[in-house]
Amino acid sequence: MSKLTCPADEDLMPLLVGDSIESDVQTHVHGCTSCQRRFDLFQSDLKALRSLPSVMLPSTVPMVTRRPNTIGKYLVVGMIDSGGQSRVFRALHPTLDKELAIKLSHKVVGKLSDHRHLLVAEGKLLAKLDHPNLARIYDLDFHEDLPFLAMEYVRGQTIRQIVEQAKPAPLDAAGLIAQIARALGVVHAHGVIHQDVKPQNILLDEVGKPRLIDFGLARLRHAWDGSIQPDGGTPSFMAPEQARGELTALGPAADIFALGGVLYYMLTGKPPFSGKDVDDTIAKAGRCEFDRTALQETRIPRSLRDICLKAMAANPRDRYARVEHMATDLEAAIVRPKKLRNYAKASAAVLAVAMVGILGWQLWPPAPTPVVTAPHSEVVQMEVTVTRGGKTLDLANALPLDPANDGFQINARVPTGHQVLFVYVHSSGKIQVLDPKSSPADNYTRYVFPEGGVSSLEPGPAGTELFLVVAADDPKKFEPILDWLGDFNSELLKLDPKTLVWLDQDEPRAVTLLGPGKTNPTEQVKMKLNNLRQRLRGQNLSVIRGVAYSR
Amino acid sequence: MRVQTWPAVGPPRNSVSRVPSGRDTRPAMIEKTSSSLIRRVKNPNDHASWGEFVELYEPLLVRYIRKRGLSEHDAQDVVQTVFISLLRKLPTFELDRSRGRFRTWLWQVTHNAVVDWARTKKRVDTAEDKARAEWKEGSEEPDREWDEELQKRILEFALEKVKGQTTPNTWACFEQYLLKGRSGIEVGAELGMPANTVYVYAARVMARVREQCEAYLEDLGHE
Repeated sequence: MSKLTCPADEDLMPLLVGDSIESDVQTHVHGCTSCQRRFDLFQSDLKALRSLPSVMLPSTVPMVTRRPNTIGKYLVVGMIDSGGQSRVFRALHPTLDKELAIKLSHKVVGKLSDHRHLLVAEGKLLAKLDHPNLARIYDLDFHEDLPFLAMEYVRGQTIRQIVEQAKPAPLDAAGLIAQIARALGVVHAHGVIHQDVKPQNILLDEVGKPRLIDFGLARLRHAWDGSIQPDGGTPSFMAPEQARGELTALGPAADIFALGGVLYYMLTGKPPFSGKDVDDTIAKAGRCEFDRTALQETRIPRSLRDICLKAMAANPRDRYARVEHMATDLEAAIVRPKKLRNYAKASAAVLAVAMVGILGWQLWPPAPTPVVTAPHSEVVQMEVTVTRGGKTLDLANALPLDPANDGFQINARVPTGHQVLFVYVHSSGKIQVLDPKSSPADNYTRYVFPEGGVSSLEPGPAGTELFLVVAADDPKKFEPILDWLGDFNSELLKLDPKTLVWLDQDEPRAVTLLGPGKTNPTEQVKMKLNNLRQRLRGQNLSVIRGVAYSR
Repeated sequence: MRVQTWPAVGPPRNSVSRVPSGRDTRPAMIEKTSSSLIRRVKNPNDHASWGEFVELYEPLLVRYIRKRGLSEHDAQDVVQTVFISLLRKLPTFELDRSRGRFRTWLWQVTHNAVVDWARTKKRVDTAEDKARAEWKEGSEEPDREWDEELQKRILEFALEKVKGQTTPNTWACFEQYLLKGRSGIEVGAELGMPANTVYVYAARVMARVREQCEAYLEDLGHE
């Protein structure tokens, strides 16, 4: 009965929807196992396709404009930001090593445009700028006649985000601005004025290092429209001469003012200029009208107030002549020991330790034979163990701590020829200098605290604590350290109880263990430790180990 | 569509759906044109393939991650991280279709990125708690939802792609007749063609959709 040849797919179509059925096809399919299968497959495929939500949408849905998936030679993985003048994409270099942020302008610069050469030349200049506190610019090129800048991708929080969470301690702010001032010095040395220094343009990267971004955009006028009110932003940090539109008067002093403005913002928590609207803010900036009394707050050291006011002088001539001078002043302000505070006032030394008085630096023991140690061996190793219920755990594995039942012990290995300082910053803010037991070995000395036992944790409020081991050839170098630690946990910083931040001569590293938490002050703790590290470096104390955690 | 547990049963050739593999009947006239997308995208200089890869997998990953309770912004961020890891690992990734490696691997990279995200972001919001609660630590095999979403996305993308390569009238035959299930005569009258032409066009588009699906499904690995 059935036809010998099997029908083509299109002959099966009418059967699928139950349209006019050609009886001989139907008859054939009924009698042909192979066609029956084919028919069933069609049906199940159609069922799957019809179940897709998008299929049942009206077919007039407009095509969404896709972002480019490649720009130049770079592989785009997503969009980070989109503004009035440009879009910023996250991308990967084709060698797969470098992550990049690509700023793609909306402004077409045609192939025959003279601006094209100018832009390429500017891009080459910007690519020369290199400093650890700059986000590097690698490349300027064109994607379908749109100029783009390929920059280093920096993951982190902006100063604005950080200040909105919690105002940093004044000396931390100063340390951060000092680093940015150094970076800006490199930018200025190449004849480039940033023109848009503001808290949103300074990122704290994943290791707590501040990075200046978006420098040099002002030079690329043919790709971006200058920097006054970039992307509809407010001129809250703008130098008066810039706000008045005196573009010919723009020099490094404008950046110095803005950087002073960022310091002001970090110290006081508010931007220098804020008006009812953008015009009002520009007018205030033009008159250099900001609240100087906000800097009178007692916790702000006078030295910082003076630096801030000098950088923010209304007349460019009254500001620092060069941004490096501002950096030098800031660095001096953070290294200079403040008046010694009454640290260990809280008397009870519950720790079974020799509490050392404020000025009593106890040093152990002078090395029997001073040995010149090779640089690579100048490494302090530190280990904090926690004893809980008879078991000994690494600090990392013991978090969160149970202060009622846990005990701890610190071990350190220090190259011979060094003096050491063991410090414990308690969550109450009390600073204790611990007295470890030393036992010399071949070319290092082992220190342990407490000797042959376990110290119980002194009761205290919830908060961040720090164990710090510093080694130096000259104990004089230890002198300012306790002072620097004075504000370590004064800001009510509380690390998540499952986060550790390690400090060594490189960068503070946060190690977060899985678990729910309430706050995210890791960045601030990292910033503090990074500042501490810089100050220690200023004293040539690169031989350090520390760990911060919360109870 | 009812999706069976992967990778127990794979779709037969030229089919977009899974049926028990014992029933092996396939039309032979459809020739395969797309070579493995995964193989192509291993080359970081193959820009077209990277674009295709992003367009295919990004909506799936965003959808899947958002269902873990992440905000659109966070989900985008995690997807970017996933793409970076994929790009870096792809050149040394060995595509073993028979073991379903890509399907599992893609899930693992996604899973790890979400776990990392949950570790570093410590904000407490209900969404994240949900994400964490739902996220089984240490599980090594993708769940059923992953397979369903993966398959759905491939069908959807195949449709998008074929639609883009097909003239509007031809597409309308397929869409109105096969997908929407309207009468061939009615659709033909609207488009000014006999019903038989509608059938021919519909069958042609259907074949292309199947071919497209097959190419992607094979990458995922099935038996």
